[in-house]
Amino acid sequence: MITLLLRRTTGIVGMILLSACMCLAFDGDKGGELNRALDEIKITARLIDARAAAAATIHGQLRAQAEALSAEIQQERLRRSAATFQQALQVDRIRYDLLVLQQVMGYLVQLDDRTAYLRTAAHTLNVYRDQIRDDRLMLQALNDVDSSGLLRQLGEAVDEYRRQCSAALLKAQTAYGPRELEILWNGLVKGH
Amino acid sequence: MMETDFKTDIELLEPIELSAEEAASPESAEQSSRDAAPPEPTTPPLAPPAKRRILPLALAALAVGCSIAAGVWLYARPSQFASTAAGLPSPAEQTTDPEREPGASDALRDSVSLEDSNGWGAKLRDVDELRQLLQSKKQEISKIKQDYQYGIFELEDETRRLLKQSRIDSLALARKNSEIELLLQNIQRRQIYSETLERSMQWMDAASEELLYMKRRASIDVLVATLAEGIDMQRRLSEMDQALQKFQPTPSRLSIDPRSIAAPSVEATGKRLIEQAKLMAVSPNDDRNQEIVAEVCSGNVMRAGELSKLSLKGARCLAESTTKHLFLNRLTEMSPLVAQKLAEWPGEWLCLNGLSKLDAEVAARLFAWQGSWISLNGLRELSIEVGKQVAGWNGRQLEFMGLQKPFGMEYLVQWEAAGGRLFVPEALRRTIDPADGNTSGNSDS
Repeated sequence: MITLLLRRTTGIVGMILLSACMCLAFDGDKGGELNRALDEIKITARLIDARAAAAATIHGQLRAQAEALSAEIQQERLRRSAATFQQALQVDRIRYDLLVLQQVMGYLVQLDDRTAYLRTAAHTLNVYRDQIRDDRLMLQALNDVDSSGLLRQLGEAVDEYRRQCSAALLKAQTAYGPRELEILWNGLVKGH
Repeated sequence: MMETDFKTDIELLEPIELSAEEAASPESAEQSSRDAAPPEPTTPPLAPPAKRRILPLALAALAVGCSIAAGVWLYARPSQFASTAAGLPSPAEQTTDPEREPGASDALRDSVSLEDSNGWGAKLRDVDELRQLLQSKKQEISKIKQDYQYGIFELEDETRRLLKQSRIDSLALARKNSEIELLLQNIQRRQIYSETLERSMQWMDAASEELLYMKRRASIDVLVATLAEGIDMQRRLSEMDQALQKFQPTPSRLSIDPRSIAAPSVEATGKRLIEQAKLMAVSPNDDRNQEIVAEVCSGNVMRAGELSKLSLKGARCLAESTTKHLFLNRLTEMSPLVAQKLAEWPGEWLCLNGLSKLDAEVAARLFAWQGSWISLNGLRELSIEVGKQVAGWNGRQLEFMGLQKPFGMEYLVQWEAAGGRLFVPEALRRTIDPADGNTSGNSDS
């Protein structure tokens, strides 16, 4: 009898312990999930910041190159009395400067686009971060909160942002159309 | 400007410290599990047989172990937002080196390594060196071309003089004159040579510009290489190598077959010179000047001071003389070409006191002379343009003792302030130094 009682007691205690551990583990996982989400946001935000900083550095250097090229074209335009686009194309320095300037402008446009994307991504992550902090406070207050939808959205966003951060910011400029060159020239002549 | 002030607020991303009750961290969960584990029975109330006693304990231990294992598994299972993209580095890897792009193309990685190994730096320096070589070669050729051009003008000068002297007013007659015919053919030959050199210079200009373009384009590519894809740096390098070969100024590339150049017609040149000769004024001193020039060209400059007009040939022969002083005070006028040639004379003192006026073009060439002393005491006034040329002269002593008007004096003062000795009339000197009436260079003379 005692043996039976002991055996049953041991079994019941084991079941109780199992349940307790399961509950603790489950509750701990919710808070942990939110903590890990914040960590993921932080890491991704750093990636975005680093990417944006790299883009800004190159953007500044390209902008300086573009200004120097524009100034040289203006100088050569006056020195060689090149009034029309056709006359400008006859001057090697102007023609080549226009080609390089077009390449630089193409990169600048691409960088502007990418920077706008990164800015939006950073903003979105900030919003997610606020939501997760709110959910954590709710969890603290109510011991339960359903964050599965938010975490799924965040997971998708983080995946996408990391993919974009790993991708090249620029694509090689290859096609140079004479029409685009002429537009660039006209802009310079008008002092844009 | 690109905005960059959108950084995520990382400080705000630090996880909030949870209360002890929440006990959400794995460490606290494990601790809780350990706390909840029953203490090991040291003295059981009954002592069942060993086999029977061990079994329940083993089951209980197994249950506790399973509970802990379940807790750990739940904690450690992949989160819903963990990165699922294949091939992406883990967040830790990305944080360590965000610029490292595993997905980037091989070409891009190649470009980075090329840049790192200074392959591009050395290549761009090669381009600079070749451009400098081309520029220096072009200057050399330009000087030779100028000499040819001067030679053409000199021959035309000579031809006009002969045409005038022989009173030839038709091409037929001119071509029957063997001396004139020879001069015309010489002019044509030099024109062809000059055009040949012009084409070589154009080739060097084009080469230099194309090299500069390639360098600038490559510099931009290298600049963006770490952020871009699709830039074939290897191809760029190969193109640059080809250009460095293609634009070497080798003799075979620089030489242009004169037969490929359409020679200016001797007839056209002859007709033009005949028309110009008709308009030439004849001076009674022409023959005398001619004689003196002949002496100068034979190395005797004793009578150079008697020249009332300096021909191109005369200027060239004077420029080639080794005399230190040239007194050409009977010259009353000078062409820019003559001034340019005289400026090549390696002497010290050039006296041109017969000139009563000086135009800016002549002044620009004259004050490029590398000698030390110029006397222009016949000048009555100085224009602003001439004054600017004087201010830039590298010589040591200037005489303008004939100046009557204070125009352009500020440039003379500027030149003097740079260390030159200036001689001007007392009246003008007082306008320069009104306070002490210092006569500066004048008193030193």
